[in-house]
Amino acid sequence: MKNSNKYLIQRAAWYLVGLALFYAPFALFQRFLISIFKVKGSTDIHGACFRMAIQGLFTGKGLNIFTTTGIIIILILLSAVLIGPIFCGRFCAAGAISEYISRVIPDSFKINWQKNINPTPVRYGVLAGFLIVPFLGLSVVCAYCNYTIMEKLILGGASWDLGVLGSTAILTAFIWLVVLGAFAKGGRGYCSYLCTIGATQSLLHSIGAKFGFTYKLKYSAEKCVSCNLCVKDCPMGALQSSEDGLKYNIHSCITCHQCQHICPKTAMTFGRGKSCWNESFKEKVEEPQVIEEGVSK
Amino acid sequence: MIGDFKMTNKRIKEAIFSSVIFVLSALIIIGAGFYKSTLTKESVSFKFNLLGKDVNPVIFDIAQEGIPKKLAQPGKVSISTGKGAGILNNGKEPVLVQVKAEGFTGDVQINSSDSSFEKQTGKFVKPIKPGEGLNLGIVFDIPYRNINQSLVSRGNIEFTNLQNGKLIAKLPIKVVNSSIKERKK
Repeated sequence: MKNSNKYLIQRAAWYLVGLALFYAPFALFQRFLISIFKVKGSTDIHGACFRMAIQGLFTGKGLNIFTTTGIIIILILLSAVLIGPIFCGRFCAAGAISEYISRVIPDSFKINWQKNINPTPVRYGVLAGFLIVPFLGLSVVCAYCNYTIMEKLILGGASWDLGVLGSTAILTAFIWLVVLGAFAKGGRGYCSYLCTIGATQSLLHSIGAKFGFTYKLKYSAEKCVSCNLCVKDCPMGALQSSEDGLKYNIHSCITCHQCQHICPKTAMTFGRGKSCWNESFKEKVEEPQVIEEGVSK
Repeated sequence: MIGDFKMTNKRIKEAIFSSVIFVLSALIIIGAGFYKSTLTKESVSFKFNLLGKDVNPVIFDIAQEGIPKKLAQPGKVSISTGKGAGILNNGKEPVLVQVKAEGFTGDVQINSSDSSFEKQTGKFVKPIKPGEGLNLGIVFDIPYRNINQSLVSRGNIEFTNLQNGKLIAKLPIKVVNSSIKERKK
């Protein structure tokens, strides 16, 4: 079995762990926090409601850290700075389900949204809108939440009874699983464009990655043979090929390490120090003769 | 130098384009918030006193559902007491209550987040003390063939005192489709 396929299975196992940790009927992490630390919280996905926490944090309402939600959001934000969006890349079952459904659909039926529409301004615009909305007396916190729908799928999926869904939930499910899911390249269009949790983590990761002691995706241009396997396999479209070489968008990366495992030349690694993305491009532009000599040999 | 100018010009264009996309995305989310605010009637809540004389009927209008709901699950209707206790024991004695649905078309499920509620029997196994209340969520699953009628479903949620078997209260509920009347006009 190919290394990348083995890693897909490994990642799927992590997402199942994430499902058990945060979603009812298990919600093991919330139960752990409640029983050991005696904090308040509910034993379902609402006990780890990131959206309400982020909205509260940015709109001055504050964050009660002595709740399951408070503790979980602090862990997610800290980890985003230090090691990247590990929640997205390892534990988010909602993002994973659309990605893995998409992997089953042939590429000819899929649209490469990230190649045509840069996700970065969209996802930060969505985050900005999400934070502005409460000041207008409106709410989008629960209305367009795919986590709630994910929990309904888990609880009611076996009997095909998802309970009562509102129009906004139905719309969200269609966009998340179909338009930006199954029939999107990578399967994570919702994550790329509409997820405020992911946007917040990416913003923090892009800042944290500037420091040498934090973990980030690193690139060795001298090892890269421009096979573009990483571009094809990246579920977030964070890697794009261009006439200037391989381009990496840290604002889209969920540090899932899929590129690291599909690269035949170990040009991608994950670790501390410099990322070498921009430096590598400059070196290539400044030393074209070295490349030509290598080719002629 | 001309190359540098072209690169700068390209970067400026990219920055402007990204800014426009950023603002548009924020506006779309604000628009989504406005859309959500037009759908408040997709879920109806009610509150009343258990020992009150008159209980106002609850009316759910299927015509008020949004288009996605009309397409996907028009007959799946939810009526609840909302947050907190919606049905208050305003009497002086504790009451042991059973809840039943009578007269409705299609399936009716009655739920409560109260741990003392038995879903299968509709009984609250612990008495409701004076001044305390109970919360209820009622889900109607109305067959599609009944949706296109002006009166889709009608019945009562009956609250019985288990201690003496007497009927304490009736909550009349009507599910209507006001768009049917408009067409006939």
